[in-house]
Amino acid sequence: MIDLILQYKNFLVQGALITITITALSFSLGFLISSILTLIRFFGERVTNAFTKIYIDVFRGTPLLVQLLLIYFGFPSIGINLDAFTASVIAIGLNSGAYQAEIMRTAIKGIPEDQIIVAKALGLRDSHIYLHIVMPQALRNAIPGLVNEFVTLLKESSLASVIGLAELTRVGEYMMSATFRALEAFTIVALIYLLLSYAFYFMSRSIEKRFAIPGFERWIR
Amino acid sequence: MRNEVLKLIDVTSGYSGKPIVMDVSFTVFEGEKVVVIGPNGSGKSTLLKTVLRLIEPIKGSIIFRGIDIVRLPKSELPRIRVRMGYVPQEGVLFPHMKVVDNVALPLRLALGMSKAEAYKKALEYLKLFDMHELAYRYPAQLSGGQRQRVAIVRALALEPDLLLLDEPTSNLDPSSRREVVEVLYNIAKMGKSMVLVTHELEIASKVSDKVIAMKSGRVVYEGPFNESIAKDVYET
Repeated sequence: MIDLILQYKNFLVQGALITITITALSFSLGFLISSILTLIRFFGERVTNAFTKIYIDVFRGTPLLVQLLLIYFGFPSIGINLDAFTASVIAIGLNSGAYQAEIMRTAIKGIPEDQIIVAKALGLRDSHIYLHIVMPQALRNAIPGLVNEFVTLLKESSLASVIGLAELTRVGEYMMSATFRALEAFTIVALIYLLLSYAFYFMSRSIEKRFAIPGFERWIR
Repeated sequence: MRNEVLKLIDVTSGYSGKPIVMDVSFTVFEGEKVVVIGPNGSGKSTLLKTVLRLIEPIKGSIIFRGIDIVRLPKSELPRIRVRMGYVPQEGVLFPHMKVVDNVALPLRLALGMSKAEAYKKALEYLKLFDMHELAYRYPAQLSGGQRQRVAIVRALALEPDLLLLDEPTSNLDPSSRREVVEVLYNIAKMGKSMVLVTHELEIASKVSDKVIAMKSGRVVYEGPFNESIAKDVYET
């Protein structure tokens, strides 16, 4: 197996970099979308809230692979031609936006209502409450869920191999085709995914500790 | 004649159209200390939240400094609420902020002070109540009594026209309770207009200029503290 790693190390590194890049970009796009959806939910009226619900239901209720195929193969018929990388980032990002919005919803629900009532009673406006009371706590509450989502995207980015993007899984396929050593090729790929996942989980612990509210650290294990 | 700070006229309020507070009328004059007593579920806390329009009144008028706040658009409420210093039960503080940030936040955001002014004033008020040593601690690092005292200082620092205190001594251990009671007596001496909701008849007797006794959402007594009437309210 070592010989295979050494032989394909450049491809593996490049594949891993593409995987990390897709993950980071689609996570960022998802975060942007979830921030907008969260804002709409916090300040919005019934009509706008219905829009967020439809968005979330559509993207959570259909397979990511179907969404990816729709964007890559379907959009050209309406004049939108995207390369495999861009299509992957957009598809995974749009999908992640729905999941991240749900993570934020749960994180906001974790803030005791008393705090909102007191903030209002002290004369704070809704925008102040959102920025100074809700978001600083909700983001802290959301860290484990968001990191989990990041690692999920890291793995889901492998779907981009279906549309020909040379990310990590695709590199595994190349290795298999060239050497017929499928077991070893995909074991190597799986180990790299595992290593990356551990690295991000480890980072998550540091982030959680870094942003822990004094007095609440004991809850972080 | 003393000025009216707050006047409630036939106020009814509750949740989902179901009244909890019914036809309540009373007036708080400048410098007057009104203590609201009554058993659990009598509508005391709902009454305070109604005054702040955190609960929408079903009917009636709430006149604060000559303005009927029931008729005000929602966008106008923050500038009225900031003139009523509210102290919630169990001293709800914002846990992600240090004590001084908790006190300075409404000064900056609701009163529009600069950051420097707000922090200067927050520290002055914490010092005034002997809490400056707690300024850089987080709420989770304080005792229940300390949290409650910070919540009181946070309200006082706004220099409100009226203080609204919702059972500030509830759920406190005896030593924390003593600390908070001490602060309440000090505030009473400062001549602030206030409405204090409490179960504690001893506090009511020492602090009140006027007692409002509530039972099942209605005012059953209004007048000077009277021990036998107060005790009657708590009997089923």
